[in-house]
Amino acid sequence: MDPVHLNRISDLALLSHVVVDGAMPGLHRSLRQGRGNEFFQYRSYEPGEDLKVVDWKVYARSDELVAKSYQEDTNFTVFLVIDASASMGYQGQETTYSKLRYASMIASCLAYMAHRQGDQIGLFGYGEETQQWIRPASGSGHFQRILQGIASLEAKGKTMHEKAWEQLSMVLPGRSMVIFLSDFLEAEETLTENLRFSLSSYYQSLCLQILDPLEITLPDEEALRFTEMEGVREISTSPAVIRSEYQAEMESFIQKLRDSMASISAEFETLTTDQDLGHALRRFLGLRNAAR
Amino acid sequence: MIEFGQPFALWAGLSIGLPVFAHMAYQTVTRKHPFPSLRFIGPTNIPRTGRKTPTDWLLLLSRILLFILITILLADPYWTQRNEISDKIAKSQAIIAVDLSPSMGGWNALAEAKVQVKSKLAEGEFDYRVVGFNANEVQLLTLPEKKKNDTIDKLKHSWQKGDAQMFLDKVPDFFEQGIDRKKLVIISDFQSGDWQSVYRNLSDDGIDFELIQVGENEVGGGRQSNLSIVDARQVPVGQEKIRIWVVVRNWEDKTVEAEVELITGGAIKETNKIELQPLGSKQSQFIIDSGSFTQATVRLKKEDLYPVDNQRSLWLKAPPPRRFGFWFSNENEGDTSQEKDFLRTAVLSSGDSGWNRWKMDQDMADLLRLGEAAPELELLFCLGLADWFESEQLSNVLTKFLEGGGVALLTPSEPFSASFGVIKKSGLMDFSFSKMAGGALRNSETFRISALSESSELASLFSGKASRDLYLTSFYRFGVIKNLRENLKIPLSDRDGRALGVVREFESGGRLVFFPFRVNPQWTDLPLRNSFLPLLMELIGKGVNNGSSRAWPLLEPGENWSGTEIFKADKPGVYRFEDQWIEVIPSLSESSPETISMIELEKALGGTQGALSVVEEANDPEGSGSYSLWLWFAIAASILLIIEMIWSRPVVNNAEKEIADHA
Repeated sequence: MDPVHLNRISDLALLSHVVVDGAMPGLHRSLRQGRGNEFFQYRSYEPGEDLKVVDWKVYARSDELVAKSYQEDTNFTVFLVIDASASMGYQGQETTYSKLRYASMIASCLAYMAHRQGDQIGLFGYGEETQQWIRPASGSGHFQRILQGIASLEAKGKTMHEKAWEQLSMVLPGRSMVIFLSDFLEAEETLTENLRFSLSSYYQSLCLQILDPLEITLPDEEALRFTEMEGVREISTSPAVIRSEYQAEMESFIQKLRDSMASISAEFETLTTDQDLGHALRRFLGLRNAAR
Repeated sequence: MIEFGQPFALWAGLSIGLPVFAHMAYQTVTRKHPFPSLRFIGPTNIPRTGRKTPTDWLLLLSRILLFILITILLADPYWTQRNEISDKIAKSQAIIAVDLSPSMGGWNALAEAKVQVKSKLAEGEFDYRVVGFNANEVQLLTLPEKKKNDTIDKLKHSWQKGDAQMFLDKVPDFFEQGIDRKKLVIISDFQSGDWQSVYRNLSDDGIDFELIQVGENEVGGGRQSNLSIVDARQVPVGQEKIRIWVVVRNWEDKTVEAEVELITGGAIKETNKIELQPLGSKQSQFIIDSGSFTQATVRLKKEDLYPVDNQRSLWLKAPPPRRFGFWFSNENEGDTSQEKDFLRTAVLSSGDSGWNRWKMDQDMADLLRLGEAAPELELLFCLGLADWFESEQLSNVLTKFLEGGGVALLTPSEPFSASFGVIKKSGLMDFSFSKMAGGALRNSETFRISALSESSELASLFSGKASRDLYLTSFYRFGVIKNLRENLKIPLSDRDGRALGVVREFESGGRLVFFPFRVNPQWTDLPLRNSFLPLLMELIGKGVNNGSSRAWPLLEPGENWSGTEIFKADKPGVYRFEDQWIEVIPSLSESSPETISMIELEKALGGTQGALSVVEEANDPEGSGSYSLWLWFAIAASILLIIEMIWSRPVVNNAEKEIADHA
């Protein structure tokens, strides 16, 4: 699940299949079979079962009694919230993809996993304005719409966390897992207030902070003129000189975020774009299983 | 060797350039790096890095060279070709120029000038050369050692009006080659008429100058006291008398009494006293019997400071009449005969009772027709132009006559088209023939002359009541011509704008006139009208407006008169030349006592006298042999700037390019 190799797969549907079905077999529970509207698979007919489940057309063709299984729908919603501001477009010198691309890969895998489990999936992508809003639903067709929505996100505009989360809180369905994918820059002051809904037992929050490795360590150059991606500021400085101080500040910032999340019972994980996707997926699964 | 017009620019360039280069040598250029958040990034001093790579050193050197070139450019470099300064004393030469214009003959100017020349020669400061200049020549005087003073004493003023500019333009040629120090000493009365319009910057020629003014007559009360005979004319009075009138001018600012004498036959015939107002003129008249003497002299009795203009000679003979003749077909056509009579009568009656006379000289016209020279013929009438003109090949003869200053009038014959064809083939005039206006009968339509243009010569002649007769003139027939070439003028046209007369002027002063009608009552009633004579004489250029009243030639010294040979007017007097009786009068402008201010003249000659020295000449960057190097340095700096810009452009390395491609 090396994201460098996975980045070569441009189709998110394929990517999610490769990751979830290929790289993580058995780590997630199979879809429940039950009474649902979505056909799942054929199985052998058990004597004594209701004859309604028999597929008579198959019998007419093959003289064999087979029964249809249907996917059991859950009433659980997985809501993907993806930050698509300009800062998410950052791509360090050592990576070949941006933070938003990394977040999209994770989001597509999470969506597939939720779909496999029969959960409803919703999508909210935002930057300065709302870029994508897909109401939670289930089904293969809806899953494809989710993936298309994820693929269409562009990193642009300033980050407007408060506005987005305020809007989100008004439309969140009951009993949901909200997965935030963002770098959470400039958000630690307002995070606890805007995500207070996480305190409710109906909701679970998983905040995945996506950072580029160079955001932790700074580029290895003698002198650079840093320009703000979501503003007009410029600062000429020597990374070598400020590196240690910067890293300390960054760690403090991340810790503060973690503490804020903990205070509202939200799960928080910092991911760098050079990490494999499995870590994020495992966190999701853990939370999802706990919610059953 | 290279020198600089603005050497301070070199120091200024160094003082600015050195700090700039120090800064450029150690400046680190930071690369832009977009970053998600700058909240934990603070500014720091950019560490200095030396440009130690060979490429950077070369770039730095090229920038230094570029800056040096620009600094030199601002310092105005030029190349001088200068001979080695020898240890010997620089060669020096002086030209003493003596003005020999007629005004130097008055106010004791020439005598004073001779004294000044001798004085200068005695100084011995320079290697002196003496020249005398007048209007048309600058004469280098040969001064043999023992007869130097005698030669100077023999200097005489000329009679031609002075031309100081001509002299100044030739001055540089009188110095020898290789002279380091040149000086020009001008000795003159600096009369305004000769010197007020001169200009030459002698410092550009490397010539120092000194002005010595003579003829100021300070002891005698100045130059103003002068009386001049400015005009003298003779006109016949009746058949037996001649009136001589003389105009005398007073140049002084006070009333003066003068006596004018008339001398004939070597004796004073009569004396008139006149009183002249300050700066005024007065006329005096004498009447004598004609035929007694051929010439007379009028002169002022009292000799003044400028006696050259006190006397005037006049001829008392009437000038010969002007001559005219006819060319026509040998067949005696009635129309031609009528035309000839009308024109002959008109011309003969155009003279006055004075000396303006015309004489018909058919022999002269026939001589010309045969191709012989006829210099005395002034006016030629070619009547009824037809094939005879072409068959006798008269177009060349006529053209030569016109180019020699003669005047000719052409009239057509019938059919008109034949005359048009002859004119067209001869090349004398270029136009096309349209049709005949009017019919054979007098009862057909009558054509009138249109209103004359305000600017035409005829308009000034025919104004007021005089124009009524002209505008009542009737034309019954005439040839309609059009598409006239640009060198042809139409002084007369009908009310529909069709030409009734065409004129072609020649550079020699000759004139060709064509009437598209015959001058007889079958074609027009013009020859029967009062306006015919003045119209005719005006069209052929012999009218009153042309100032061609008859008189003997009046020349000033230096002018020429052309006959079969050339008469060159030398000094005032009366002269017989071929059949002309020529009067040569002194130039009036030389009579003026006004002189130009020395300050004005110094400015016109390029500065103050004696300002130039050998040292200044050496420092003069504009002197001969200096070549500006500005352009070459500008080209070199431009080339180097282009190289530097290409060399120092930002280079994107491969790693950055790949990252950009994969994003």
